[in-house]
Amino acid sequence: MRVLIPFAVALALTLAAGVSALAQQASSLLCAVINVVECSAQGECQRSTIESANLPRFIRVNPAARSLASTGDDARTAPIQSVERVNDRLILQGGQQGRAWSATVADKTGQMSVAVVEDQTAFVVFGACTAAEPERR
Amino acid sequence: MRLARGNAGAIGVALTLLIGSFVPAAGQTFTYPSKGQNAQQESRDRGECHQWAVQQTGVDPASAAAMPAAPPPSAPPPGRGVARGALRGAAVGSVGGAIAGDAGKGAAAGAAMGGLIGGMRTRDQYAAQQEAYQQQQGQAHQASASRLDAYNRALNACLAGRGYTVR
Repeated sequence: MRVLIPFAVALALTLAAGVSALAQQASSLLCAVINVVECSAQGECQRSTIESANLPRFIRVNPAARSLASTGDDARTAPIQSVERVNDRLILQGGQQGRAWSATVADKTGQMSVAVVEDQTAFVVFGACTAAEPERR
Repeated sequence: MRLARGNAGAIGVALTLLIGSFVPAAGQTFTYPSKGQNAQQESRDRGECHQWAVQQTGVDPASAAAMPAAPPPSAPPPGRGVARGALRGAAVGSVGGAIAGDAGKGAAAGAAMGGLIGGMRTRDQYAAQQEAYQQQQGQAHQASASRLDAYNRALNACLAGRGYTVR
């Protein structure tokens, strides 16, 4: 038993480091959109659907190329203006067509939160990301 | 008893279907050969009148029925003009492209795609888009019905001219 404990700890540390390194070193992430909430300037927030918000179900995040892209045939993209790593989290920011957005992806869990703001309206998007191979075209 | 009740239900359904097959559908017309035309003559007259009605109105009910419905709308949202959105998309895409080292490519991508973030819709925009789509569908349906009515009137006029009573 005494022999197994250090082995288990070493294994756990190796796995955790592996996941963290995967998220840190991955050239791109594949993120699934799970929940969308829309808030008005009046302070009312309502749950929205992915379809009504016109979001793709999956978004490929490529910090190196500084781009977000949908995985579907519509091939919608958005540029990333800022990429930072703060406290084991990937922090991304950008703007498009009068909207500003900020996103955070936790290295260890892959949990993603995005805030998209425009005049009098804000969207909060929640999802989960995993490391992905760069898309081959 | 259960069997008898089941049989009664089945007979009721059969009767309903039988009666239904004799009830004319809404808008259906009947023609009667007033001048004693035989079935062969009636068939020929119908064919020729159909061709004449199609020529007169430009409507062929057979091909009109085969036309697919328009797909529901998608991005960009109604509150933003397509050109404006495309210009903005191009500008933003250009910035993205410049950061990534290819301004031209970024601009083209932004203009063509409307933007992943920029193309998002608020609930109000979605509702307005759905309403506009419903209205458009309703108008298309009305226009289609109107064209079909014109065809029917032309067909009936032709058949009446050839000695058929049309009701």
